[in-house]
Amino acid sequence: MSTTSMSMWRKLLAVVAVMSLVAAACGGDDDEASSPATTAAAPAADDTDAEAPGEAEGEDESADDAPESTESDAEDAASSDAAEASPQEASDGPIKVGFVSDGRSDAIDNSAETPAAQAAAAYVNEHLGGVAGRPIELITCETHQTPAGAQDCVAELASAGVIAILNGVSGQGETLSAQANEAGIPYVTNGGLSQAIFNAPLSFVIGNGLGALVGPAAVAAENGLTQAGIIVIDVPAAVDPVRQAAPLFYGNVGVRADVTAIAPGTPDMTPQVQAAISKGAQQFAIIGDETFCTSAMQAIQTLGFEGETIVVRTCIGDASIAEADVEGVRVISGTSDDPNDAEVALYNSVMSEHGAVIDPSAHVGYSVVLAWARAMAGHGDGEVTPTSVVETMIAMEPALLPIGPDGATFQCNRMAVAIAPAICAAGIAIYTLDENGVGTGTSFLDLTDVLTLGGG
Amino acid sequence: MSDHLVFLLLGLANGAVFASLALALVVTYRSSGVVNFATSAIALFGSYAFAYFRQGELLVLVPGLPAKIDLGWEFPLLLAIVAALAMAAALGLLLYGLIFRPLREAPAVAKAVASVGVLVVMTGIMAVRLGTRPVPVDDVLPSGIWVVGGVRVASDRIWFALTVVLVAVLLWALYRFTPFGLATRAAAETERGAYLSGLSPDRLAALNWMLSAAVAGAAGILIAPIVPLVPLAYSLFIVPALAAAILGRFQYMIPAVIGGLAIGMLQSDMQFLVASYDWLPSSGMPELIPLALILVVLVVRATPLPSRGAVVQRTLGSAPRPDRRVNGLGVAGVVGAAAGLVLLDGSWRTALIMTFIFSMLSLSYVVVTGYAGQVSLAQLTLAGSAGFLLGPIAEHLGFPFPLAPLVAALGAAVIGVVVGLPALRIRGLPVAVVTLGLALVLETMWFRNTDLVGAAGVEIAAPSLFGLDLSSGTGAEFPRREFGVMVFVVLIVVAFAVSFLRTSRLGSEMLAVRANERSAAAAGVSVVRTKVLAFAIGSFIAGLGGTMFGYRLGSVTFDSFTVLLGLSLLATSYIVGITSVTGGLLAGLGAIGGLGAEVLETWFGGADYFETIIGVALIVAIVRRPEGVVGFMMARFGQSRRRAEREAPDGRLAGAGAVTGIEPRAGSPLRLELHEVTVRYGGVTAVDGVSFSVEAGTVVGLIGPNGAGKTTLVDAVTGFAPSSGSVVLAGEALDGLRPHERAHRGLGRTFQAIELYDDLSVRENVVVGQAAARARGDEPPEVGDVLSNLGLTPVADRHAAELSQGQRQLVAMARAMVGSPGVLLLDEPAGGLDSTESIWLGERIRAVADSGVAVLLIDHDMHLVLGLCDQIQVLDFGRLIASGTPEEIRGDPAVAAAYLGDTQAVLAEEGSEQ
Repeated sequence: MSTTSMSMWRKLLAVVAVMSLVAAACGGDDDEASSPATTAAAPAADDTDAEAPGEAEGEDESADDAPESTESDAEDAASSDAAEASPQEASDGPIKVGFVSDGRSDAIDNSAETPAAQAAAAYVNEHLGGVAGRPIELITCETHQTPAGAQDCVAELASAGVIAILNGVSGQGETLSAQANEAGIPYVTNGGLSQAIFNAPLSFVIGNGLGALVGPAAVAAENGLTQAGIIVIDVPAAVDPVRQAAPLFYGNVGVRADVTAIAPGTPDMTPQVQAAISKGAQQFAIIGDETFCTSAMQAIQTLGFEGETIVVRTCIGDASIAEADVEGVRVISGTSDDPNDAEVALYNSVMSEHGAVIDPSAHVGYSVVLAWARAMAGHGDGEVTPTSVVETMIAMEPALLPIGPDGATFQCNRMAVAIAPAICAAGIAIYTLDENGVGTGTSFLDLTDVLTLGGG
Repeated sequence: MSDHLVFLLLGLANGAVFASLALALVVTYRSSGVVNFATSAIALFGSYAFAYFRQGELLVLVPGLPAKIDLGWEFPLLLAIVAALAMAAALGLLLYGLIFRPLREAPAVAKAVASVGVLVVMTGIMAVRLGTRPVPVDDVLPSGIWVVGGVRVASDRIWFALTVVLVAVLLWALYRFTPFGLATRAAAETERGAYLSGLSPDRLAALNWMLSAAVAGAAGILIAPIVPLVPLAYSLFIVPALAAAILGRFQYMIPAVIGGLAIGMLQSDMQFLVASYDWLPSSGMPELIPLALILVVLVVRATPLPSRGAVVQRTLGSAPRPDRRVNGLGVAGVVGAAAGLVLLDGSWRTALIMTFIFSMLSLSYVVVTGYAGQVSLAQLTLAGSAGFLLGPIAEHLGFPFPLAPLVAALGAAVIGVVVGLPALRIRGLPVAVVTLGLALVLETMWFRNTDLVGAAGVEIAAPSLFGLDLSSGTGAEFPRREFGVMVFVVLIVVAFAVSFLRTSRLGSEMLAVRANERSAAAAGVSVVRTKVLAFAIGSFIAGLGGTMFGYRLGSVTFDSFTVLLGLSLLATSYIVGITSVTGGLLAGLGAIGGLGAEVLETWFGGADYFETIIGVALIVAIVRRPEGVVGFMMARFGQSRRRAEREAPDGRLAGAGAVTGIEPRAGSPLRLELHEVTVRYGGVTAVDGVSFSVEAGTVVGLIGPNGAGKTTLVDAVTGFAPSSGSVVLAGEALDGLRPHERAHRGLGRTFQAIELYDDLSVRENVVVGQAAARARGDEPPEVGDVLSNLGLTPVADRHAAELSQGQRQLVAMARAMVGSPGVLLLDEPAGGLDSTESIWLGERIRAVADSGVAVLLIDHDMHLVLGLCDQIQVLDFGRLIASGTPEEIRGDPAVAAAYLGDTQAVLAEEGSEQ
């Protein structure tokens, strides 16, 4: 019965995960010398309305997140590009891959996620020769945004004999990860902000799940601040990691973090924001969904706060029609929105070829499937098993990050971020919105100093 | 300016949001008696309509048509507001005509559940048609920044609060001073009254629905610029809004608005306190504020909601007594479920197990709501509390498997009793609102509090018994059959226990409390104990379900047990049938993730309007069958069977004749003395210094014109009305004792309105009365003997509702008599009897007195009173104006003066016959 109307909390969870994921997906460790253009700003809004972005200078002090691979990244990226360019039919029977989505409800509409994943799978089969020389077949499932539904999905997919479970992004990521790990099946997602997922041996997070948390800390450090506020939606999946990790990461760069959790469904957030300002916050990072972030930004503006406001990309949704005044707001983003970037162009063409709808949930569905296929490029033509999947992914060479800025890569060698082995991408992009909600001045933030266990 | 003042001011906007919705709730309740959970959805509709008018588009919610029609012209502000309000009013009219008009005589709970259905349908339609992305809304009120005490405050928020107050004042004036308002208030008092005064209650109600929907729409339009407009935007405001409405007792608009503003402001200040003091819990403190206010108002003032006087009031569905504990249907169900466990696999087996678990949760509703009549919105939360307790109980306290879930369920029972405590002082829907508030507090301060529960939730160790692994398993083996069998066994045990409860004495007492707390107390049932036990048992069952759910999940997080999901659990339980074990068991089929959902998803999956269809089914089910589907089927089944088995009920009292032996009353004879008993209601003195006594073995009549205070006097004697003076029974003052305690001492009574428990059989009605004798340690008279003496044996197994008026009087007397009372107070026992029956009844009353009981008899049947009584007391305007033997009374001029009209004629006639 009224599942959907009752799913406010679940939605919020889901969106939190989305944000951290989108924030994350930007592979950091490009060889900056070779790809200055990757730092070009992208409009925050729809890809389709994107205006030609100015070529902003990347202010890149980065970053050997994955030290051993830095040298070869550019070449690898180039070669994988070449491979993808030449069509190549897959042969043999298909290998079964699970794909999980939260689907749609009154609260959240991820209905574009699965079709986008299917489009990516078709692209992989038609142009990349499938995986391990065989076409991939996606077995799909929806969680209904409940832990029980997520549990059902893993069970169903396991029964179907899948060798990996992919997921764009889910509010039930923790359950999916835990259940898949227990079932001995690798779980690959685009993003998440969960310690449990980061440390699960069979889980892989393509984007930098910690970017949403760490990016603003880096900004604060850059601006020489001593105290920064974090406004986070009051659901455990968001609050728990933020409360635990924020003091550490902010502390790494000498900034005191002050976490304000605000219950979803709080109509006017000025009291909470005023309390945080009174405690001395010099900037605000907002972690929540679009609705939540809009309210938080309105409150910050109403109170005349002068410091920086940093949000993740999904926080602002379609910035051109956002209710809050977004000018000057800084956005942490995973995917590039610049249609001139090769990965963005590829995405657009694959999606239009397969008639799939482009929206944020499509981004993540497409990304995770293509990223996984790229991570599996080193798998021989032998039998594909969950174990061989995990081994192949860990042994992968750096690969281009789907929909990433030019040159951005990821590598799931469990070393990209030492404290969160599941994370595959090490860097994060940030840009500033202009008065029209268009992103300008994209730069890459070096998260290395921040993403350590103290002392950094 | 002090920080507190700043924060109170900043909270004004939130307060205005709650206040505006509370205002809409009050307007709806006042005019229709509906606690409308869909108020927020109507408000949302208003704001969507407004937002689209401003963009030059017309919102169309009808599936199949385009979602918006381009009007080619962006409406100016005022016109957009008027147009949006008109659309909201039209929606109100539609809701009234389709749903709430057919339901206007249904129980308040049914109406509230129907409004939950409206909420589901409207939210679903808006989500599908308008998407989940926020829609921008222009400012409605002048926006700017005011600096107050160094803090910037958005001026539109202050204007918002002022506007809400203004709207409340205008509405108040509308209801206070216009003919429409007066007529509405008259209709709210009594529908019959409205008919008599020539008004059409129908048209009035329709107008009021339009008005209340427009008020909700206005609230939405005012809120929209502050809260991003998405389909679920306003759903979480319902708890503080309900709290504010309760502060206005669902009657008074201005107090409700002030309450809403106060809640928002206090929450804001609480936010400041939480930020300032680290020792305060980081989660849930603001949510405590509405709850605290509700508790203070409801529990301290203990004022029930004024209920509407409809011409007919239906009750909850009947709670049928199971004829046999195991019947064909039950066996078929068990066999089918067992076969399902063996044969089904994968998602079908999962769905079957979820059905078992939710059947258990629904059975907890059967006990709490179906039997004891307490509407709890916290059952799912209580289940969750057992789930959250289970982890630590097994891990840290080291309880082994079968013990750990039982202890966790006991924990839930304790919490359940706490949740139910307010119900000891209040009744009906306010209980529901309090439990909703408590559930929200439990959720925010415990389930969602990361100080207590991490993001990964609470781990639940896998259950095993004698080396047998009972866990639900993971991956391809999930859900393991052994786990399913365990849940199934627990469910069967619970079902038997609930069925046994129904036929036990405690079950009868619960139904007695549900049917009528007054008469239950008069029969010697401790209402408090019964309610506490109902909450404890129901919560224990919910807790068991919660532990099973926990074992299924392996780790529990808050999102399986949210308050909003709890609403849907109540709705499912209610539609299927909340009053019977069968209903509870079948309700599991409709649960989220249950078999019904699996069937729909497998065969009709993917439909955008799936949720909406379910919501519509809910509404249709309620409108057509307010007693629940199972109750309806049972009633049909029962009727035909009864017709086949028995003759039509004979409404006549058993034939006249000599009274067969009524046993002399056991125990010493009691004497009732009244000393200066006085009852005052406000400025009115209803009973004024009445003194007399009633000796064992005599019948004393109490007569007087209507409104003389006769029933009030009996209420004072039996503890139902607060009085001064003294009531002495067998030399012992009863002052300060509660009704059931007085019943235990030996005061038995019947009620003028014959407060029987219509769902119970005659025998069960009477059994409840034994509580009084048993509490004294006396062996109560055999129920069979008392029934036989009163000629009720032939109807002993019929529902009280099937009896004639005369038979009902006798059942009420029988119920009082099995308590072995020393003093029996009969309030109009001859009402509805013809003269032959009245004589027959008189003989029985005389026989009761002769057995050693003191009888006080109120009746308007002068033949009966004058013929039967040894002494007569005459009351007028609360004072005794005469007392004496029937002969003395007959000749008393004061009595004749007090009685004018018919009764005087009777007196005269009686006199002339002598």
